[in-house]
Amino acid sequence: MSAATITSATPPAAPVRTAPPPARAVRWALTRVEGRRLLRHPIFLLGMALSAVTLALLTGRLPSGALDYSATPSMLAGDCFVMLGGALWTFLAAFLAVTRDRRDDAQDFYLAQPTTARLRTEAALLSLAWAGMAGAVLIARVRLFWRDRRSPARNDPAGVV
Amino acid sequence: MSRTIEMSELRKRYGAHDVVGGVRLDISEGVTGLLGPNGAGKTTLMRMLATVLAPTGGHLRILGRDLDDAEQRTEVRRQLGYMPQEPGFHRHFTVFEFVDYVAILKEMTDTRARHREVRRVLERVDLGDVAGRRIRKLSGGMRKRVAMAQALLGDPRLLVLDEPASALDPEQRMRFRELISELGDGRIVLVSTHQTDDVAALCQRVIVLRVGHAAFDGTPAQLSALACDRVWIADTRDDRAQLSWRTAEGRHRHVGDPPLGARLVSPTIEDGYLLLAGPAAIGEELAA
Repeated sequence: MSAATITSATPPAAPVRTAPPPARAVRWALTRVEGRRLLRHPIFLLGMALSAVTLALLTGRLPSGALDYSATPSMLAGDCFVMLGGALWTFLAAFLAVTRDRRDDAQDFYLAQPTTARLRTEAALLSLAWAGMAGAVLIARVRLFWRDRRSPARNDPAGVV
Repeated sequence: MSRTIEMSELRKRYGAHDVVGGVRLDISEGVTGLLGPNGAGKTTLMRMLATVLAPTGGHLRILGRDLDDAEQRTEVRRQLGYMPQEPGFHRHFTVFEFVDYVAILKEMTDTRARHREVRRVLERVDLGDVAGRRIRKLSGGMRKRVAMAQALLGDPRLLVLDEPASALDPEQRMRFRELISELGDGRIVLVSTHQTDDVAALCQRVIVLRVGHAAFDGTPAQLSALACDRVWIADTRDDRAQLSWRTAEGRHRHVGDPPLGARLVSPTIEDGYLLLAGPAAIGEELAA
């Protein structure tokens, strides 16, 4: 902090009122905030961690090989299993986000605002797309990690060209 | 555009009990205080004015808009700042996050302008230094200021403040009074309180609610004047007084019809209020 502090008795100017924005702009702004909160939610993070561990264990049991088409159904089944588990945790976190006004007894704050409960719910549902992207990135990262670890070029010096 | 609140026969009923029973009032710009004992219907009335609670009967127009119509109700909400009496917060939010979230609900979608506005209102309630602190770590007085900050977002034309100064220390109360007094210029500010000294310091107009009805509507000076020649000091308690209490000096202050020869003193707004609210002010009405 600088030593010289400028103080003023005049309060800062209030914003100029403009026409209300379209509902989609409010929905998008809420979706971004809810999406960020969802990605930081402890339950979501726990679900992601469990999914990552499960995926790593499943992937570790598959036969080695850069491209093993016989293993593809097993891989897809494993991914589906992991994604289902991740989705359950994600929906739990989203449910907690949607109901937090009631749990925290903050409904009066919300009811007096021009934004409706329906718009807030839509934004909360749309924020799940963030979680979907995070899940896809997680699966891709785990897959790449295991492929690199078990590729013949890495494990077998004879495989090096 | 109309700059008033118009209530006619406004009513709120829970079961067989009228909590607000036929209130007729017009409220215009400036700071208006709402006084009344517990259970008088202050918070119910404030919640109806904040569009949170629908009336059971009567008519309510705010800023020229009819609250029965959903679109007009939304228009009112765009120009409303509401501070609930006991606000529930998302305790894991930081102060900035919470006010920012409410700002989005107030349809502020431009991130940069919104953050600037959030910082502005936090500065106005002296919370700029704790913007990054989680709400669960704040004191009760600080939480009150967070609630005030969100009410100030967007410079609303109508402010409904339900007991804004409770839980504040004397210095913060003084600052709040100054802030609310400033806000009264060009806006409708409705303040519900138990503190008669807040009303005396802040309000151009005071309304006393009693059992769901407006028992008094006038200036703070007129409320004090109700107790003119009806307040006296004596060494002992006088049973003929409507109300009496022991002062810090060990004497007794009485409100009611004075006995002959009593030493009359100048009334305060509190004396006028106690005389008006009478037994309800000390809870007898509820017992009856």
